[in-house]
Amino acid sequence: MFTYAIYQPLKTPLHGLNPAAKLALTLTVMIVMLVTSRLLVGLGILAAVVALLTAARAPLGRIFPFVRAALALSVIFAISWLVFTHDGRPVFGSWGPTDHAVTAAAVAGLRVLVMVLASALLLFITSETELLQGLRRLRVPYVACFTLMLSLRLLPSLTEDLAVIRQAQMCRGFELQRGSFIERARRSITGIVPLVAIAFRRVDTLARALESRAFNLRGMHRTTYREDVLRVIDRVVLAGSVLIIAAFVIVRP
Amino acid sequence: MAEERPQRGRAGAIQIVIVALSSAIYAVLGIAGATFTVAPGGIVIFYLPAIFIYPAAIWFGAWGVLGAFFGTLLFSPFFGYGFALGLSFAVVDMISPTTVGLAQRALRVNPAVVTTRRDFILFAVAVIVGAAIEAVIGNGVLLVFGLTSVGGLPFSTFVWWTGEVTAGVILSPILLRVLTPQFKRMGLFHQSFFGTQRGARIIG
Repeated sequence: MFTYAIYQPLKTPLHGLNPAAKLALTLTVMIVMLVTSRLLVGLGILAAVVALLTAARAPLGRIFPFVRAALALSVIFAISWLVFTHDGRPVFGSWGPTDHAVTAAAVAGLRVLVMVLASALLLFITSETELLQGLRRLRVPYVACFTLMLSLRLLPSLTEDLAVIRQAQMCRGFELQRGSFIERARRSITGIVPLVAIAFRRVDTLARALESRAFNLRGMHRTTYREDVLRVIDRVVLAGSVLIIAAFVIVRP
Repeated sequence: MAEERPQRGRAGAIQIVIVALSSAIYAVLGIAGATFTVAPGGIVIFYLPAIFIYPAAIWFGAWGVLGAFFGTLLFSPFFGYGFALGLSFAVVDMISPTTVGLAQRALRVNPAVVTTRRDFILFAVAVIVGAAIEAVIGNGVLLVFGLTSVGGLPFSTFVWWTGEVTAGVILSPILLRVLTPQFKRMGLFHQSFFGTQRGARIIG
């Protein structure tokens, strides 16, 4: 079963940053990786992300599910480039993928890997509450932040529900994992119908809980328990992020 | 059932919860569906969340469609996209359910689309057209981010479209057929696509 909760409250400089600075830092890594098209620059950004993960003392076991997904997708993107790109010279003399295709495939793979590792870094150093704070600081509307956080909170329980439904079906002799691709796809509906039905039974309870706390009333100014303070280091990270993105967009290394 | 606020277009507690639940279901199905075979270009051959999101667009209007936005954002790191690319796909993934939700209301299709042949055909056409638009734009995003090649575009666009259409046309009607009466009783239907007016009275 997957888990979104890879956050660990450690005492590292990265954990101590303001949530907005954490968001800016990881978004900067992702944006610069998308802007660059050179392999060496990409490798440099990958090294920077690995260094940040090391600085955050992120254990490999927590990051592994993300790396696995990234590697799988990297291979698929790489195949797309290697098979469908014919510009440049073939790398094996007169046959095989071209040099352009190999470089583009490597850059595409790196892009996926860096973006996923940066996302994992953000989730490792930022708690759900901090993520909400960070998004608010970046001027994302409160209702949008709250909805995102609520769905994040609901993810584990729904995943558990789906697992229970599947186990119950397997107990009755229903084979979910066997059969052809089409058969598995067709059988998946037997898990989705009860999942949706169970999930939406919670609507009333959740809505009442929100309304009893006067959620989203017009003219009400929301206050927060935690004070969101930007220290010098946070301002440096935010300003640095803006400068780095601007430099990459202008220079396009 | 919690009291409905009369403000049209402004999200009340019910709408917030619907968006959150739709997002969470979409994300759970997205992660579960990642095990299905993926084609070159990073496209899933059978897109499991599509089974849910088309009915959600019909039941809850824009509030259900928003589930595709937040859901995609949530499962993007587990899918191998990361948040930056996930944000782009979050917008793209709203295209086909929006098409279906709007078409259902404009053409007055019964939410339980399998009741008549006309309703099913109109639903299927909306899914096919919406998925085609989404596949073209989605693969355009992949191309802009340098993740797929120009030569690979026709193939990955076709696979994206097929993944959406097979899930939407074949399996979504089952969900609509089974759960529409239940949501009708619960008063969760949204009569207009962008509004907050709910009730048992439904189009069709």
